[in-house]
Amino acid sequence: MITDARRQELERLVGPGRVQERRVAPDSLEAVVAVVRWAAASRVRLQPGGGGDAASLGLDLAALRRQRFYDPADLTLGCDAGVSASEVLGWLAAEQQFLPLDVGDPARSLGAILGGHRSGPLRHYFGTVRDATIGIECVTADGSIVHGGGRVVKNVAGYDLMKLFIGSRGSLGVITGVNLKVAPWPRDTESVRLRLADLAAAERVRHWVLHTPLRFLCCELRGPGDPWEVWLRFAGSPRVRGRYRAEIAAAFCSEPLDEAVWNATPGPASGSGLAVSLPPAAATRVLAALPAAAIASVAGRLGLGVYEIQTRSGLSDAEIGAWRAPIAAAQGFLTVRDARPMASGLRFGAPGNDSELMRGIKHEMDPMQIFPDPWGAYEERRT
Amino acid sequence: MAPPVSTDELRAQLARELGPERVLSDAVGRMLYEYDGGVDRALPDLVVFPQSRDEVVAVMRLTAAANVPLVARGAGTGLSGGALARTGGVVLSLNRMRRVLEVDVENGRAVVEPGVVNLEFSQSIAASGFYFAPDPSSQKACTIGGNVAENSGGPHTLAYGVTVNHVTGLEVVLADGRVMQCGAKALDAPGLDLTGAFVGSEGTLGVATAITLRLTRVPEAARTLLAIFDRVEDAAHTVSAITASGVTPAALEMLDGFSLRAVEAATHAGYPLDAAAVLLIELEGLHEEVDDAAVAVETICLRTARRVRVAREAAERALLWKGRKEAFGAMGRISPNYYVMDGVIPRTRIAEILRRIETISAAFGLRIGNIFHAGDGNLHPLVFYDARVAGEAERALQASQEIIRACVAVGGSISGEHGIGMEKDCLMPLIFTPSDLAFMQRLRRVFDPGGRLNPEKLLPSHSCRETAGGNAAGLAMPRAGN
Repeated sequence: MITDARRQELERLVGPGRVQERRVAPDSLEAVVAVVRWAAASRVRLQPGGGGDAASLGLDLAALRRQRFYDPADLTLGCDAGVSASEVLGWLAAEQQFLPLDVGDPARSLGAILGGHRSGPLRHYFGTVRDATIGIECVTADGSIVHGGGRVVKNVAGYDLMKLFIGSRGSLGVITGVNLKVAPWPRDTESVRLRLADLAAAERVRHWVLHTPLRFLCCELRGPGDPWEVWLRFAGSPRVRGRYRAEIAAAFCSEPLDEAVWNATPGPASGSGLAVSLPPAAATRVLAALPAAAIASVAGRLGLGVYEIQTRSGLSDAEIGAWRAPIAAAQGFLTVRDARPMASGLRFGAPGNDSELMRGIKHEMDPMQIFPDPWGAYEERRT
Repeated sequence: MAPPVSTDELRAQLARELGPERVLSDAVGRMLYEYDGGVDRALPDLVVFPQSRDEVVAVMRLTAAANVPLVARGAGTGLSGGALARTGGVVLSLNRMRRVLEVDVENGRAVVEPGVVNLEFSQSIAASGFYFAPDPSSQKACTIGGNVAENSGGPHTLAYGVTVNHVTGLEVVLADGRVMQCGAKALDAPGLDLTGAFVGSEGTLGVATAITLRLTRVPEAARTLLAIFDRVEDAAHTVSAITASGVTPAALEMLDGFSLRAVEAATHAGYPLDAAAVLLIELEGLHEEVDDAAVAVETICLRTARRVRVAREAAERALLWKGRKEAFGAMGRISPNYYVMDGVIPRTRIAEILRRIETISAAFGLRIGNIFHAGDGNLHPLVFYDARVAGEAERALQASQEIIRACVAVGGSISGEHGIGMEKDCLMPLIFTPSDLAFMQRLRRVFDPGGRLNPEKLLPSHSCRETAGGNAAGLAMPRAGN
């Protein structure tokens, strides 16, 4: 991807052995700044955290893995963005604490977790990484080091740059550092499984969960199948958990669920990965309207209306349009997660009128287009 | 270039759009909009009262054409000068836009106009078993639009988060009159999180005209404890001990001895007059959870507390909270003027910073009380002064800034919930580098290229050049080894 001359230039900036054909791996914040400035001057596109491809150079942050501070009594932690989730969890485990979010693959770096903004079962109680992040450090397209937030758990000074960068998929800069709220691991968790005849039954569970005073850690819909299943997880003393069991038993037939299910990672998938979010009360009705035979799996936060759907085979552009129609009609969103090249409009759906401002922000912050353009900010120029 | 529009001409244009009765131009009337809950003053040239989104658009277009500053305002209860027309111009008073547009309990959402009053809204949906969780002390009067602008908090944000955690979508009128929709009832709208970025932008990015709220289930049980300490340090250390124990109270407030005596005299809340400090702790959840948490919290408190009093009934609980919620107002009995500061520190540094505040109090010869959200390290030192005494107001300001610098020195921030406004724009360089501030300025320009919306707020203004300067980078985001 890069010429020998450029490779030598880069090696002078980041040190020998830190440049490969499609990847550069700086080992300091200053080296990241140097790489970004070099990329802007050289008109080379960067893929933060990624491996690079024919069109871009991967900017690997795995060497940025220092803990910056950890204050267990304040429940706060700061570290480089290249640190893996498993490493962070290791630090926290020594204090019986954890990251209050689903990290997915524990080998993923914090930078990747922030950039992607995926969620998992714990979102029902703890929210997402947007809720856990209290400070962020990024290198922007002009090589500036930019901070937002700080290291305290409550802070309204300045614009909330965490919200802007988290989920931005590397489009506005490279996330190099992060400060997080951590949490004591809930003691004594327990889970149950509800087997449901259909999605209408799942909707009755959702309604019950919304109105019950019980506060579940997780409330997952899993399927499709005969039956569909809802997994409920809760925590507390034996007396508290007894109350949960009694309330659930009074409303539904349930059976114990092995806690190990929460640590299971999904196997390789061959179809399309779809992220679907809907107003929670509309979700099961819309899911029921999707082509059941094409769905390999559904996993989602029943109480929140946020779902991951894996299809049995890759969807065509026309099929994506057909899937999106009932979701959009219910004021929901469908995003295609697989890497098949497609126009951003197809991948993310019909843009709302806020996309104009998103394009404006992208143009302002990355005029040389050195970072990814997942939202198609420059698409109209290329086509 | 269009010739400048005179104030009279703009008044006439606005009156044609809204009707003359909804354009305020007389000096006495405008003086009501010269202040908020803080200490700053700024007189607007005009005040207008739109009643709909379309009227906001019309005002926005007219003021844009005239290139006149526009400052959105809710109830004016803010404490940082955020709703003041610092450079003159038009104040857009939104408190006549107070319709609840939709309550959608099944989706846990409601859509409201910006002038809806925080507490009135929660009371209006009480029968549903849900409420809007942010509860600033001013919640009887403050508007949800103001909460969005300031990203307001309150005592119960310890467990439930600040306003941004309870807003899922916005309709925003931009500086040029365009109407933007961001977010929705559904979560995870594709693209950048503009809803999250807009909340807390203090009226500098646009005017929210419809707000989609996330509703919170009213807890089954709540219990209030009052832990009474003979030493301030013991109360401070108890805060971090509770935090680290795994119990998350719904609220964890602290009042020092001086403050609680003043509050008791005014509210008769039942606070002990001889204590050095008290912690007001609220636990919420299932009855069984609250029982467990109360035992755990009481055990932690009694390691150093003289006594822990548990409110026996709802009336006693309400009285304890009345004291806290009306605490700032009670201070008017003991001093003609006081300055409410807002700073944040790591919760493990509370004892240290309270000692530092004592030193500052002595050095400036001013009494300083402390009533604050201890559970999230959000301090509210009250600096008492008499504006009639020459130089005392200036000393109060200097003492307050010294406290903020002390907060920053231990890794804290200059605002936890009151916002930056015109009160602290010059202090922003204490926690943000020039690069940070330049990035924020560029973001602002994308929304409002002319810098016409709430100018000279949030980011350092021209008047700050003499006082700017800080060593921000290592404080906001410490590097390894710092």
